[in-house]
Amino acid sequence: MTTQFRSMPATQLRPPLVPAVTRGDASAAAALHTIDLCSSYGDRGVLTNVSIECPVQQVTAIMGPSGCGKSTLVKALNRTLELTPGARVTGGGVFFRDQDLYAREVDNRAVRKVIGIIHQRPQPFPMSIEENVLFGVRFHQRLTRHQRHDLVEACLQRTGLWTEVRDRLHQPAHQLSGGQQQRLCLARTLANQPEVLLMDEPCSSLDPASTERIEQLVAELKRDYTIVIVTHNVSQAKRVADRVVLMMEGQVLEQGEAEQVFDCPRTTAGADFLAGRIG
Amino acid sequence: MASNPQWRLHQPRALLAERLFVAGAWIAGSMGFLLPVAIIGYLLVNGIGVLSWEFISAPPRGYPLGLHGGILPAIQGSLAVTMVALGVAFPLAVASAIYLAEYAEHPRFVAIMQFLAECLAAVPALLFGVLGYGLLVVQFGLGISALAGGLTLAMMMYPVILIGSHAALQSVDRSLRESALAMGVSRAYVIRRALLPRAWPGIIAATVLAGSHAVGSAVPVLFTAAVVQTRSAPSLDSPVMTLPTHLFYLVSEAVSFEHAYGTAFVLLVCLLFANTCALVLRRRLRMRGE
Repeated sequence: MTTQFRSMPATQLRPPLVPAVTRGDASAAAALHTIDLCSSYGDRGVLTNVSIECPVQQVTAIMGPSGCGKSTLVKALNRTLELTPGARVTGGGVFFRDQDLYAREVDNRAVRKVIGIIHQRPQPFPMSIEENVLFGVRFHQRLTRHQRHDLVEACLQRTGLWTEVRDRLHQPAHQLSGGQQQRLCLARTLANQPEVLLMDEPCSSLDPASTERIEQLVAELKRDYTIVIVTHNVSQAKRVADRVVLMMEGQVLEQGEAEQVFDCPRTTAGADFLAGRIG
Repeated sequence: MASNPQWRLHQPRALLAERLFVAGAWIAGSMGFLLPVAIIGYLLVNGIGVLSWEFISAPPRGYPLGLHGGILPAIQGSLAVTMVALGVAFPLAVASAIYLAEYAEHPRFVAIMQFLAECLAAVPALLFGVLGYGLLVVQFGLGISALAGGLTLAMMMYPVILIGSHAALQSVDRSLRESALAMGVSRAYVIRRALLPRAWPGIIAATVLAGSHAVGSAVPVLFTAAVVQTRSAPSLDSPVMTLPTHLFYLVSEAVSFEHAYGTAFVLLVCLLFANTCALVLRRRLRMRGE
């Protein structure tokens, strides 16, 4: 199923919006990295000199107390930050396979297709479940009815929704439960055939059972995707993360392998956060 | 404990105030029901004598004209003028609203445009009539015609549809916009597939409001489109009769008050019919937009 899912007919792709940002062999160690990234909302600086690495096919957890700039960072990674009025990247860069995503000739739509994002609150589009999955695909590709059906099934299978919704694909998506909606959002992002998945606190509005389901999915999906997950839940990060970035007040406090950061944090502030003394 | 007024369980004054409030709300609320029912009933009672199939299917006859016969040309004319107005104002106003809500970047520019639209909506119908006469009828040489009248009404409807559509688009959740754009699709695609389905009910509501207002007003078409009598079916380049101007003529020349009541009743029924259609459409769109 996985191979079929990943080998959607490349010939039918629209001409790439930017040649440099296309699917290729996942060879580089870090799929995504930032160098001295700075951003601000209006005059207020949010991120200062953030340099992180997100290795291929690993889960990188970005953690830190509320308001430390986690969401800003993760949105800057796929150029959705600029959708927020007043927010912009003021310095440094984000690199996907050594291609600067903020270079002048890069099309932000191509970036968002290759680096998908799941938001905190699931936001189903005002259409049927099936059309939700096809939302991005209908724009990016021209598929036959048969291919579309296969893609919908594959994406919903992947997120464990297929058996739950196969009989009501044509019903409005808002009728699903919160957890199902979040998995639908994941499915429609997967339908875009991204290489990187960004998740901005994907479980914060879900019940424990749905949270567990999403965490399972993260563990399964990392075989095929590079995943960056924002969370302020330390135990969740311990369960899913291979690599951890700890942030505080818009700066990277420490980063490294998950075990190393959790077992022996280098900074006192980091230790305090992981022990629940700052939050 | 009973001696302490704070602990009294029975509070007659509060109860009385509550009852008065409820009664007041009931009276105010029933006005909204009674007013339209009373108007329709009054017109029906006074105009029932002339209401017949012939009344809506025959041209006016008699001397003075309108004493006998029907009002078919006026119905056709009103329909023609409104279609022209809707056909012009609706796409323009919705496009302007989309631009203001989704593309215009400077908040100050949007605020100024909004203010101007509100000013335009507050301009009296008479001024639109004079403008339409001076500009369309005389300057552009359209003459007294359905086209000139329709365009004048379009000018009147434009700000109302614009304001309503803008509000409808703005009320769509910001995060829906963001989630949709995060799929790497174009802004136009997001507007078409995610935002407009949510906004249609509001846009339709504004359009119906603007449309029914325009259909019912005599002044803008009085100088630009209307004549007392036409013999042919309405065409764009010839003058037409309309329901409100025919009504105005019947009353001001004291031709026949019974025919005037009948005409008013037909006008009202047309508006109610249009409103009902819009209601059904809105409900359908709302269901689809969820």
